[in-house]
Amino acid sequence: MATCEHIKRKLADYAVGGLRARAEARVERHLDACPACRAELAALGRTANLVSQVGLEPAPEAVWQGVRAAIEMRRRARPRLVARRWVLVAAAAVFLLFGLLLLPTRRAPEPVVVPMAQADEELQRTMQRHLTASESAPLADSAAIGLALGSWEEDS
Amino acid sequence: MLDAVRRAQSGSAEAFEDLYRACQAGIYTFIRSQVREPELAADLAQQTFVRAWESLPRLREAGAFRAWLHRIAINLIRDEAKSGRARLEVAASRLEDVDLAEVAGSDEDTLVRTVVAAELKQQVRAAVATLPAEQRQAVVMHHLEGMPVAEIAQAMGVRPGTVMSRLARAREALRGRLSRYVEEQEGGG
Repeated sequence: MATCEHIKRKLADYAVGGLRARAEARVERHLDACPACRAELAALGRTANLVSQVGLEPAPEAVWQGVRAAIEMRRRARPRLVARRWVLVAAAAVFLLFGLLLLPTRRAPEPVVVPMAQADEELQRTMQRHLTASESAPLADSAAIGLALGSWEEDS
Repeated sequence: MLDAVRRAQSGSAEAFEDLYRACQAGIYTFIRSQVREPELAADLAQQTFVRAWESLPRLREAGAFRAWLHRIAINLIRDEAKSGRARLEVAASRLEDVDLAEVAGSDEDTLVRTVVAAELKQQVRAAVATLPAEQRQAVVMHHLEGMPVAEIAQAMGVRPGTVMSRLARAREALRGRLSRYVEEQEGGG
């Protein structure tokens, strides 16, 4: 059988519901038979009541004033922060777009389309220039040499 | 309170004020039991609620608001203790425990009873002040604020069994320090 000394050491844990089922049952069996331990359990209960009677202390109203001021300050700061962020995003987008537009790009040269009739006329003029120039220095003009060789092949 | 928490999470300052009104006395009393100066306690209480407003959108479980609020207060108190500013003194007698408006014009018996009650409160506060910090926190949350063990465990970041052990050890210590008043209570005096 558990002694009062042993049970008294468990009473506070029993009072707060901190004992496991077996230990709780052992304490309760002892309490059924021991007025002294029952009295001590009741004293622990009154101790808890004394503490509860102290009650709560309200915070000074200045605490709420400070909290409200801090909330207001943060609410006023938030739209500016959001706006500033959007300005930065917009600026970055404009910069990027501008940069893309100005970036020099290499393109294949577009073919110059020359009408057929105009091409023939230009060819004739080129040939005439070379043939005229070659009369005085035939070996200096490779184009004339080619033209001359071409005419010999036709003749042969 | 759940509804107020959710509305406050959506940005309602009015809802947050409702939460403040519901929790301010508990938080202030809790902090007051941990730090020396009333001015510092008020400052820490303010910081607790401001930090709660800032972090409220991140609170996942609305039902854990009170425990979460206490966790913020505990962290702030811990930071102050590290800085060396927060020290707990054994509370001296405080005249503000006597509500002068209540006793004005009262007969002698009423006045004596009021002063005796105030003295008793003072003695209980002094006894609680001598407890180790973690036992003191558990006692204030449980016996003064009425928080259940599970909620206290959440606030302190420990298991419920640990909270119960702290409450039990605290009650044993208080039983010894307040024995005179405990016996008087038995006698009805």
